[in-house]
Amino acid sequence: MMNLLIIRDRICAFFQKWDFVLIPIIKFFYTMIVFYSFRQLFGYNENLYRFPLVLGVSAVCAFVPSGVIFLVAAVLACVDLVSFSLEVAGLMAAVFLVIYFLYLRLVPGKSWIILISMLLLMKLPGCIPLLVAMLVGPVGIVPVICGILLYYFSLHIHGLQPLLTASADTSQVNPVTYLLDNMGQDREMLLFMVVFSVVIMVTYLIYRSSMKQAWGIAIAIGMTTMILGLLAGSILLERELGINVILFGSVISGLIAAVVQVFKCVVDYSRTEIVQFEDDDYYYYVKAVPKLVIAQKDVNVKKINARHKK
Amino acid sequence: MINEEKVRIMTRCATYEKHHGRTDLPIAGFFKSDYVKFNIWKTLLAVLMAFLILTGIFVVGYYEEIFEELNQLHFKKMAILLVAVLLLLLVVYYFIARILYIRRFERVRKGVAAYYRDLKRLKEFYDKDGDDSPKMFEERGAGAQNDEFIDY
Repeated sequence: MMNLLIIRDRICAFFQKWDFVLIPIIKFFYTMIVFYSFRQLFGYNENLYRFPLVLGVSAVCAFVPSGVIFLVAAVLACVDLVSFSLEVAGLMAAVFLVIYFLYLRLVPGKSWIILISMLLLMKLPGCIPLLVAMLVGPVGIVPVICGILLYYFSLHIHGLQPLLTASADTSQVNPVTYLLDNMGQDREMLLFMVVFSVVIMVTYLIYRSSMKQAWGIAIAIGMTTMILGLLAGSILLERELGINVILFGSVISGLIAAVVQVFKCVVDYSRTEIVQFEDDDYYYYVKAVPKLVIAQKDVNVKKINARHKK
Repeated sequence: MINEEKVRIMTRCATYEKHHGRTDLPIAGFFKSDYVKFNIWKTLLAVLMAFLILTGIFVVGYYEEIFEELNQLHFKKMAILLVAVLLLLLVVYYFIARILYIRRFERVRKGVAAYYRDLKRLKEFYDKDGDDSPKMFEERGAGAQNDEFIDY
């Protein structure tokens, strides 16, 4: 355990020292992942996902705030959908606008949760509530719900595709009506929204409590709540969610949450500041490095009068 | 000779300006009630926009049903429904925005107070040295002259 803590502190120190390089690199790969995930979610216009374009946009996004990356993702989704159906693209733009007016305007800086929720729903949905509870708290419930909404919206668009291509006269099918009807009746989407909100609240409340090993208990109870909630929901809704997927996915999510907790210092730390200013006599170029105490393994136990085994 | 304490204070001020200066310092120029009221109005306007967009989506999606209702002269029923939903949204968002912006103002006020305290100490350094206060104090509008820093 001691070795693990030393490694953790060293990683934190490394991150503090090189954050001005590491953060753009992380943003670069984050944008690339967003692009390639959107290709799977939408992918109606292959030209948008050509490697040079993805590379160029990711390189630019490496140096912009996360809100701008969300804007780029929203524009990407809408432009992609124009190739599929103009009405659907307009509907997607309207949904993004409503999310902006009702949530992002009030709580800026949480847009990344919406994108991450969308991406994680594709592979490892169980991670979302545990990580959001640990890193963000109940404020993260609304963006998670928005992420789930956008993810299921993209799934229903896939369901709409055969209908539009099958009917020769496209005016017979109103894509907006189809999507509104299906979104309104999608109980699986509602189940995920409710269960994830409950798990976020439960995990957060235990995580913030003063009991010993609160984070471990919070992850375990959060995981159990999620498994029970999803199982109960799948029975109530008579929908096959897959017991293996739920159990296996939740356990993996719990393990990932535990690893994130150990290395949480990488996320919340006081960063190195580089500032410039001047007075009447000098120009100052200051690099302020926060103090960090790394616990070294320098314990030397000397046994005096060691017991002899008989 | 470089004064280390002065550099420390200037670094703190510069770091604050870099991260919060653009967003927080303009907020500090408001009275609390004005800031909260102004932002509540902006929020209610945004809610109205979102409501119009949502109404537009439903009109496009269900125009046949809506026209059918209108043909049967159910204007009053539809108008009451729309106004009720809008009012509910506005009331909910009024309280959310009120709590949120009061908290934000309090948080900003603490940060700005610490920033002004640092500026005040910096000015004392210049006064002690017998130099003229640099332009930055006047530019920052902190009332550097006559020792009138805003002290919360």
